[in-house]
Amino acid sequence: MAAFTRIAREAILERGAMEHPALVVVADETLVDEPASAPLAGRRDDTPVLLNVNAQSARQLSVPEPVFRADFTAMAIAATGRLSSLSTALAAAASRLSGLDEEHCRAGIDAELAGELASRDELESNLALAHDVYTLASDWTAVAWPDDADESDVVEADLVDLGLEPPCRAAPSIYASANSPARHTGNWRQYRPVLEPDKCNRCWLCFVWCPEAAITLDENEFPTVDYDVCKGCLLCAHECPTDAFRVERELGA
Amino acid sequence: MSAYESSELEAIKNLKQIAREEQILPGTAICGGCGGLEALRLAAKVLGEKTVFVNAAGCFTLLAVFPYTPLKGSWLYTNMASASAGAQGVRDALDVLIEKGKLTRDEDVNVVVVAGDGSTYDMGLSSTSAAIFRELDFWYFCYDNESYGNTGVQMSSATPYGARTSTSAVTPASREGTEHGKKNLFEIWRAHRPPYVATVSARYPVDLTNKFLKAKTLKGPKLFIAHAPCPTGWLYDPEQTLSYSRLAVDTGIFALKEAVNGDVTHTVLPKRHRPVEEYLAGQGRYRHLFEPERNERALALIQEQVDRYWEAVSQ
Ligand SMILES: Cc1ncc(C[n+]2csc(CCOP(=O)(O)OP(=O)(O)O)c2C)c(N)n1
Ligand code: SF4
Ligand code: SF4
Ligand code: SF4
Ligand SMILES: [Mg+2]
Repeated sequence: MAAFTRIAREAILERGAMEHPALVVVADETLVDEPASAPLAGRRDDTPVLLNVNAQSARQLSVPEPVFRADFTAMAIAATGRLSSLSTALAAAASRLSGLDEEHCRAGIDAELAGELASRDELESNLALAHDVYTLASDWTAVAWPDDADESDVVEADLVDLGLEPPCRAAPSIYASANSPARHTGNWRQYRPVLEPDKCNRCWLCFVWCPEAAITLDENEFPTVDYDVCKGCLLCAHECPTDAFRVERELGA
Repeated sequence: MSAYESSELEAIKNLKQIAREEQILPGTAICGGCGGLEALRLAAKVLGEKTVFVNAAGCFTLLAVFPYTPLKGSWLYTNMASASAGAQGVRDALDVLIEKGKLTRDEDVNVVVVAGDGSTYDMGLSSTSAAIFRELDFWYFCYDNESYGNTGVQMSSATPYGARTSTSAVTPASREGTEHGKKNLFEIWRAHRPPYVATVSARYPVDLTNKFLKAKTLKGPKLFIAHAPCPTGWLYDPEQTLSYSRLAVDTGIFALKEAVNGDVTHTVLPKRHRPVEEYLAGQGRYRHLFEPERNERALALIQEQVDRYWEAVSQ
């Protein structure tokens, strides 16, 4: 697990990596097949997986049952207008699966977000989002909390054990040059900037300002976005003086 | 080869003279919309491929992580306090190799420290001071995201008064968040009398490019402070990075200037500055100055400091 939260009734007295989660929440379906993320590592046969999927995407994912899928991103955007409230949606779904009732979930959201959000309205829309999630998940069965001592049914993850190496091996030198584009950061995108060439006045601004160098200019000085690597920050669309970038929800990065 | 090498060091006049060739490629783990990367990418276009970056631990350490590098040139990772000492070692080694004839002058490279503000203003200041004192022929690029970003946005001595960080929280006892003002790094460096010190912002890519072009003609320590809006730490949406670059310059909070052999020139002089509130208001790290009620005292103080700075400039 690269990122995790420990939740328990009793005091949590340990820290460090989480080996066998009771519930796995995958906020971005494109991570399921990423060896570097391996979000399903360490699960047991019956560990539920909560999977945020893009309803319009044709991607086929082989996630073993029990799996609970929903387009939480679309729900978040519909309820609050903000992508960042995806966290609220996933927290609500996870609470539901953990057997918390909605009142407790609402109290948690209130405590967590009251200091962060600008207005009462924003908080209310996040609470409404949690309610939507609880409604959607009304027939989900809550997680059966496993006994940690029993590891017999842990699914072996297909991972290379790196172990502890001396620094010269643990942080090896890189002899390649300019090979980072092989890493496709395009799957970070929630939105995709799509150029409408007839609106573009070829001013170069998007090319100059894209932090990623994901935009190149063609021979006629029209910008081309490399979707393999574009992270979807949308700075280009925001800065374009002629609004030549249409912004679409990402379907298949 | 950098596109600037043919037109050797002539200042550019417009955006379309910026090199099309990239020196820092995509695919890194740096956050989407990172303002520091935006500035470094433009700077690297001038520095060109014959560059070795000497990095202090920070966000940009994630640029080159085995087995990937976004660079055509080289990269050396050092620790937070000693990037400038690392640069000294690399420069000395290059000089020795050239002197012994094992490297030709043509194969020489720019030695460029890339470090965040935590390393630059705090931990590494002593080794940098020593390197400037020794007149080391190197470049120093500080991307100033005004916090220890990589470890979770802790306060540094570059964090501005009134900004909230994870170690300068807003509490009933401290309504401002950060209570201290930012160190004046430009003046600290200038007091060492290096040939060149400049501030840069992606807001003005031509100004940024020309400052790097000018520094190419100067031997010795060449120092750059880049305004580096940070969506992750400053708490705004990544698409707004340029908006905050723009507002920082337009409100006068970030002054674009250079000092050649100690003489200061402001390279962009807005006729009238916008109120600082326009810069502060949308950033989550300043939200407590506006909500639940306005902290008039803190807001007035920030405005006064900016006004006082520019009054001194116009005298
Ligand atoms: C001596 C030392 N102390 C602490 C750390 C842990 N550390 C790694 S990156 C980092 C933050 C650096 O902040 P800054 O220089 O501003 O760069 P940023 O992360 O903001 O890019 C810290 C504290 C370290 N690597 N070395
Ligand atoms: S910023 Fe807009 S108008 Fe300018 S080149 Fe890019 S897409 Fe075209
Ligand atoms: S969305 Fe961001 S990363 Fe993608 S092309 Fe636009 S500016 Fe570059
Ligand atoms: S935390 Fe800020 S400075 Fe660091 S990579 Fe992300 S956006 Fe850039
Ligand atoms: Mg920093």
